[in-house]
Amino acid sequence: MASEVLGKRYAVAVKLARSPALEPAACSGKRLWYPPGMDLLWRFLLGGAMVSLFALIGDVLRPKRLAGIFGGAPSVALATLALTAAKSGPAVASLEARSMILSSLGFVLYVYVAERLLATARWSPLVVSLGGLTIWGLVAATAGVLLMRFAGT
Amino acid sequence: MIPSLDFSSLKEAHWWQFAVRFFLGGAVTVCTGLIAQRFGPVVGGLFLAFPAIFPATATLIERHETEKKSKAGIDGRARGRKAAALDAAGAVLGGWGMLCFGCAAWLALPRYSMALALVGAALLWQIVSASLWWGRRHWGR
Repeated sequence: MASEVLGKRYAVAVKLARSPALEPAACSGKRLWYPPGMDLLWRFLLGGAMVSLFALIGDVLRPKRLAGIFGGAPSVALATLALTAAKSGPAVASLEARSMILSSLGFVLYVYVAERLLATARWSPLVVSLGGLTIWGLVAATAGVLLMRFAGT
Repeated sequence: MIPSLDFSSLKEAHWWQFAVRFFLGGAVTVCTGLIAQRFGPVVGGLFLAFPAIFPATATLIERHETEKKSKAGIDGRARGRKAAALDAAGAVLGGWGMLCFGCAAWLALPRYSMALALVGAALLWQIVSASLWWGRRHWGR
């Protein structure tokens, strides 16, 4: 019975994922709805607050390697998943989280390469962290293509 | 070394450094929402693991270390970059925790309330990352 309900929820989420835009009207039940501009404002404020909070904890925590784990904090994910679940439903947010699993691998590869390059002390953190984003981008793009091709969404 | 809090780094920081991080975090979250609206949650979800904190933090760490050493008349660039490398090493552990966060959120969101699913996933991120740090400290290099 529970699996049937979950299956139905996923079917709705997949249908929404296939549509070019997630319209609030397409979401049934007690979903939050607010004007598009307000949605973006909430995203901006919540995302900014989460990133600042985790970065602040990373600033004051010692030793440095332990503080570094806050550089890999799911700050954008927490803000986005909370708003998506509230607006479009938990099944759609769950689909977003599934994509995140694969792009997290890109994040791990990105910071690992950054660590190796910075340890040589030949490259500045600005160059390494911005240049290395191409690594994350490549993994995320590959993950996107694979998901679209094989996950049926 | 026992984990501790050192608030002196906040005194060395400038207000605009906090503003930049707030703006970048907000901008990335807005972009993720717009991409999800345009291309759907599968593509939008990829941006949930976007490195929003690391670039700004690594740059700030290097700057602080370099300034500290230059006050003492020493070129501290190399030390600053090595300090940023330590931060990156921690971010690798945080990245594995982030992967676990994604798995937990994916499985828990359709089954439990949003608050429970996200708080649980965030706790899992913290436990996995801190355990990896502890394990590396005791058994790693």
